[in-house]
Amino acid sequence: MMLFIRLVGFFIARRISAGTALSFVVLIGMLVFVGMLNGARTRAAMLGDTVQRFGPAVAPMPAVSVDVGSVHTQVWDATNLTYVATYPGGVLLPLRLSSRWLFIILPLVGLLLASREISQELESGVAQSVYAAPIRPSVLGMARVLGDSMGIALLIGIGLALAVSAAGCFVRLGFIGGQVVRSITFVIILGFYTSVFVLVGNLVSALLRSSIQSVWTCVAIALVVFAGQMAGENLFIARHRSYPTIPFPPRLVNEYLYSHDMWMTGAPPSAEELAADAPPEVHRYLLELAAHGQRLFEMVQADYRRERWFAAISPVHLVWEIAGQLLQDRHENATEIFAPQPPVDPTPPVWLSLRRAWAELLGMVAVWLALFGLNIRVLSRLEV
Amino acid sequence: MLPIEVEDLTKVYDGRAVVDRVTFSVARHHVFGLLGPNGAGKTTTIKLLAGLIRPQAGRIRILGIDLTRQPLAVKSVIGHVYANMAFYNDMSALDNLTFFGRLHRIRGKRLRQRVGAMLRFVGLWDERGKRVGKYSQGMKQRLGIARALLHEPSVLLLDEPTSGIDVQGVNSIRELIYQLRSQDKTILIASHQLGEIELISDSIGLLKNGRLVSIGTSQGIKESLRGILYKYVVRVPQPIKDFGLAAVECRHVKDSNIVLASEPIESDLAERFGADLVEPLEPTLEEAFLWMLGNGK
Repeated sequence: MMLFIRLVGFFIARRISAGTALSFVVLIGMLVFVGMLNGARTRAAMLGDTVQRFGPAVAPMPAVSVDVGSVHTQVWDATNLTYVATYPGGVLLPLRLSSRWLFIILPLVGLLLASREISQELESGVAQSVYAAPIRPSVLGMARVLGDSMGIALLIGIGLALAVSAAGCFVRLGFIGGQVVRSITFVIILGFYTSVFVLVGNLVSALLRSSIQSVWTCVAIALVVFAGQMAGENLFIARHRSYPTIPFPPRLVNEYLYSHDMWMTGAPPSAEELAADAPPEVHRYLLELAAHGQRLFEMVQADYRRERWFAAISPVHLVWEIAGQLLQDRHENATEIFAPQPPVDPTPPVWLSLRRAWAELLGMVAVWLALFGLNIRVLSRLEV
Repeated sequence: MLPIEVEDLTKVYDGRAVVDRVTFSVARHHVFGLLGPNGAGKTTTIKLLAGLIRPQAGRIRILGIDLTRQPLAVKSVIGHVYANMAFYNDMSALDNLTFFGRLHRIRGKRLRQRVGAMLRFVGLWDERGKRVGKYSQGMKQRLGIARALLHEPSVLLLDEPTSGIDVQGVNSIRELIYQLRSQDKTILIASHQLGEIELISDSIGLLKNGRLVSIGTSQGIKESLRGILYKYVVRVPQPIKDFGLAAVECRHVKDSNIVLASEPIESDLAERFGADLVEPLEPTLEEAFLWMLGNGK
C-alpha cells in the first residue's frame, strides 16, 4: 500500500514537473481569464440588450433560453437584472461561461498528455526497467492512471485559481460565502472529467505502442468527440419545438410597475404579489403572465426530462450541467422559470447541487470505471 | 538447484517461433554467453527470463522459482541490463535510482546506502545530480548496471550491455562485468560480439533462428568442430580463386590466404602450392560460430 501511494505521488510529481504542465496551466488560465472578462462584458451586454428590446417595459417578462438537450435550460427574466446579479453570481459566472470551452480543451489536453505516456516509455526502453521490478503491472498501471489524473486535476486547479484571482481583481469580483467550496468541487469534477480522457489516452498509448500513432489517434478521438457533439446539438436543434410567447405589457402595466415601490425594496416581488393590489387590467395581465410562466415551466421541464440522457453522454452538456448546478449562488431547478426571487440565504449546500446533477455524475463515473478496468487489463498484459 | 533452468522455451510472434524450444541451464556463479546474429532470439530469450514477456510454452526456473507461477519472486532476484538503457531523462541519476530502488521495496537508510554504493561502484557518484538526459550512452549503461544491482540480485541478465557505446565505454562496462563475475553472481550475457563472450563466459550457447544450435565451453565448441571444419593458411601473395569443392570459404589477408573447408584438403593444397606454404590451424570461435550459422548445423 505504501509503495502504491509513493508511486501515485511519483506520477503526480512527474506530471506536474513536466514541461507541458506549465503550458497547460497557462492555457487553462488564459481561457478562464478570457471567460472572466467575457462574463463582465456579457453582464453589461445583457443590460444594454434588455433596455433595447424592452424599452420602458419593466414587467418581469419570462424569456426562454433553451440549449440543446434542455439540460441547463432556464427561463429567465430578461427585464430584471436580479437574474444576472444573483444567478449565477459573482466570480462563478465566468467560470461557468468558460466551462463551455473546457469541455473540449480538457479532453484534448488529457488525451494528448496521456497519449505518449506509455508508448514513449516502451519506445525509449524505460518500460523495461520499470516492468522488470517486482511489482504487479496492474498496480503500476493503477498508480500511473491515478497519479496522472490527480496531477492533471491539480494543474487545472492551479490554472483556474490563478486565472480567477487575476481576473477577479481585474473586474473587481471576489469569492463570497460558499463559492470557494463550490469552485473547488467543480475543479475536482473537471479533473475527474479530464481523467476519463487520460484513461482513453493511456489505453491508446498502450495498445498502439507508438508515440506518433498514439498522438494522431488521440487528436482524431478529440475531433470525433467535438464533431459528435456538434452533430448531436444540431440534431436536437432541428427537432426542438418552439415555445409560446405572450404580448408585451400594455402601457398601463408599465406605468403601474414604474410607480411600484418594489424598486425601493431589496428583492422584487413575484407576479402574483405584484398583481394583488393592482388595478384590474394590470391584475389580469400579471396573472396571465404568471400562468404563461407556469406553462413554459412545464413544457421546458418535460423537454428537460426527455432529453436529459443526452447530457450523460455528451461532454459539453455534462460539464455544462454540472457547472450550472455547482457554479451558482442560489439553487435553481435546471428548468425553473425565472421570475424575480428573493436571494436565498444561506446558499444551498454543495451536495444538493451535486445531487441535482446525479445523472451526469453517474454517467461519468460509470465511463471512468469501465475505462479504468480496461486500462488495468491492458496494462497487466502489456509485454515490454 | 541451478540458478537458471530453461526448458523447451518457446515464443511465437505472428506465427513465427522467435524462440523455439530452447533448453539450457546455468550453474551457480557461472557466466553463460548467449551468442547469435541479429534476430536470432537473444533479446527475446532474455526478456522471457526477465518476465517482461510471456512464453507460449516451456518453463523457466530462477533459483528454483517457477517464473510463470511466481513472477514477482523471480523479478526480485534478478537484475536486468539491456542494450541502450533508458531512464527518466528529466530526472537525475540519484532520483532515478531512488525510484527504481523503491520499486524493489528498498526503503529509508538502506535505500540511500545502496544508491550511493552503486553509483560509486559504476563511477557515477560525481555525476549523481546531473539529469540522465545529459548522460552519454556509456554512462547510461553504467547507470543501468547500478540499477540492476541495487537490490543485490543473485542472477544478472545482460543483453548486449556494450551495444552502441564507444571503445572507452565498452572497456569500462567490460571491467564492471569482470568485477561482477568475481562477486559470485550468476550471469547470462547475450551478445553478437564473439570476442567479448569468449573472454568472459564459462559456457556459450549459439542461437540461430530461435533455436539453440550448440552449447558448451568455447573450447568445447571449437573441439566439436574437429572433423567437421578445417582451417589452413596458404602463404601465397595472390588471392586463391579455385580452392577446391570441399572448401567453405577463402579469405585473402595480406600475403596469405585463409581457407576453411568441410573436409581435410591439406594434401590438395600442398600439391598445388607446395607443402611448405600450407599450414593447418585450429578454427577460432568466430569461424566456428559463422560456420554453424552458415551450414545449418
